[in-house]
Amino acid sequence: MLIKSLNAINFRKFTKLIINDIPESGVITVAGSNESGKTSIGEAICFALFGRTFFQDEKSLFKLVCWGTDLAEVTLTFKTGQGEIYSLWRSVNRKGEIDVRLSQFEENTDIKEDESALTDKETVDDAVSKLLGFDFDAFSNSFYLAQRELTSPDPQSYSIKQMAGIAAYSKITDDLELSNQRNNETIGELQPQVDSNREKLDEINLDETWLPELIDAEETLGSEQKGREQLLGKLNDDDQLYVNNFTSFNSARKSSGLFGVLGKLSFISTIVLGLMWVVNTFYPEVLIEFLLNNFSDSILSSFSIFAEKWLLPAVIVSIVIALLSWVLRKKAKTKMVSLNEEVKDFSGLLDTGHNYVTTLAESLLPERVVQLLHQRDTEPSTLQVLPPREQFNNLTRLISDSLDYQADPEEMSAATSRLTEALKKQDGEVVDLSSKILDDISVEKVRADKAGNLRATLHNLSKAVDKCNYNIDTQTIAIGIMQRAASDSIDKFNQKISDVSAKTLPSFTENRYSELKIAEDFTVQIYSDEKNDYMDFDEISSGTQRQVMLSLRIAMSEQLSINSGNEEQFIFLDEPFAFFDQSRTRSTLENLPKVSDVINQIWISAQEFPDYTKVAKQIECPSDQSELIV
Amino acid sequence: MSAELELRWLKTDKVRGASKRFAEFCKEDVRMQAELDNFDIEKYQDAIKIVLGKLSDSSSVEELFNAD
Repeated sequence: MLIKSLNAINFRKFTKLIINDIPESGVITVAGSNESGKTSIGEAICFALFGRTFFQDEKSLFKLVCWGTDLAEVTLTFKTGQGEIYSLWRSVNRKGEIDVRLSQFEENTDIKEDESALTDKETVDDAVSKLLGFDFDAFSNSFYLAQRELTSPDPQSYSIKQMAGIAAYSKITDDLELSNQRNNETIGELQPQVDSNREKLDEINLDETWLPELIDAEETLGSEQKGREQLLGKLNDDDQLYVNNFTSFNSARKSSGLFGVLGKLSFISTIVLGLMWVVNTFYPEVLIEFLLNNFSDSILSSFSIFAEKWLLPAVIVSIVIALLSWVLRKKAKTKMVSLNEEVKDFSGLLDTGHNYVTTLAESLLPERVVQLLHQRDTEPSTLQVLPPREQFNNLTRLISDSLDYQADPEEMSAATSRLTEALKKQDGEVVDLSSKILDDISVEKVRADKAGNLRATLHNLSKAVDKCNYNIDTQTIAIGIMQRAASDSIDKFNQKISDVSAKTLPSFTENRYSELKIAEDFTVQIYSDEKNDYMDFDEISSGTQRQVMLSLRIAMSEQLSINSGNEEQFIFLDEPFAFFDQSRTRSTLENLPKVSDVINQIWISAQEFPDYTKVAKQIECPSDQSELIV
Repeated sequence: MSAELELRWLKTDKVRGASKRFAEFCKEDVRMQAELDNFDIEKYQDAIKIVLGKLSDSSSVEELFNAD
């Protein structure tokens, strides 16, 4: 982060402070005698960025307002590590009330986007913290060296974590540990529900195959019942069929026999009479000679009279009788066939009925359903007991005999009645069984629905528990990675601090000390070339201690810059040379711009600087004026 | 080393600051962790995403300016 400009009104001793055209690199000197406002410039930067200064916290900010005025304002324009330019305005009144506005500048323009400016204090502070990548404490422990203040930060402090680049890990670890704690609490809340639902599910002890078996059994019984009802309906319709048909069939059979005999006789007579008529008509002399030789004259005379008057009619009548007999016999046969067809259907019904009454219904049902029904029913039913077999001993024979109406109609009628009665009784029992199974199905469905709901709830609960466990696992792994990453960063940080300090230390101490070691607890040891050994920090003079601390400060600032994403960074050193002698001051001023590739905008305040000091910008604070415009 | 352990999806050149340092560290760390028993690459990758997400949240200023 680099400062582009700093403007203030009524801030501390300045009624107007304008510092523009600030170079991005090099030393910027702020010179002036006591109470000329050198420190106020650093405080103005600090106030703009963090809403407080090193000396004035949030409760005493009203002290920043210039005497005789009511409102102090500071506007700081700065460039972030990403090259974005922001303008940060902050004011405080005599009551200590603060207003703030953060605006982003379009790249390469000076047009302020006021519409999108942030004005809420918390939002601005959050945005500034994100833009800078460090907070006030880290700032005051690194980039802002307040007057007379030159100490090392607490190794356990958040500032050190920010400098080492592990501050974010610390916060994220806290977040994840809190999240893990909440996940554990959630699991703690959900697990009893899971256990309770599982117990309820175990209590239901639902067998997934039981309901389908019951439904299958009910459908089988329903089908059986339907078949029986249809059979009973047909038997009721046809119960007198055999008896009625029996007479007709026998009558037709008699007619068939009678007309058969008559037909044969009339056929023979037709042949004989026809031959006689042919001979008498076409060969009379042969017939007369035959009659003369074998019969008397009177017979011959009678035959002649008969042959002449009746022979032809007799032939015709005989033919008619033969034809009629054939037709009537055919008709009787047709009727018999028809009646046989009817009795065949009827015997089929009897056969089916016989099968029903001689088959145990339980053989059609799943075994477990039968067992259930056996357990439940105290009295034997159709399931277990068939009607007495002797009732139907003759039924098979009757069915066979019925095909030619050989069976006795009375015997057949009685057997049909017994069969119908047995079927009706069984049908009633099948309906009862079906009804009971339907009840079981209803109960089982309720149980299945209940189990289904419990399973769905259990599934959701288990899913939530699994998710919590997964979150805990991954977040624990994340915490582990961050711990290792933090440890790695601290090692690198300490090494870097040592390296950078080693680079600056010789120039700050005129080559008396060239190396230092930093332990994990941030205790410092300095290598003395003269003594050829490491010395503890408190073994060296207080002046040298401050030079070492300045060296450390710059090293830490560089690390904080890099770790906060600021490849270019300003630093404000308020009178750092108070305990430096002339020689070390000169050496330090000459070397400061060279010691870091990152800390390249270096603000230094002092009462005076050597004339030959190379500076990028000089700021002279007048002791007798309240305005400073540079 | 399997491609999975190279964490190819983790582009160190597309992140910066703390996210970049963390991503670079993970690329090294995963190889050592993979040698341990019960190492689960899926969970490890999810863990990286959690941290990167939070690092990104903690440094994003855009949403503050874009929020109405």
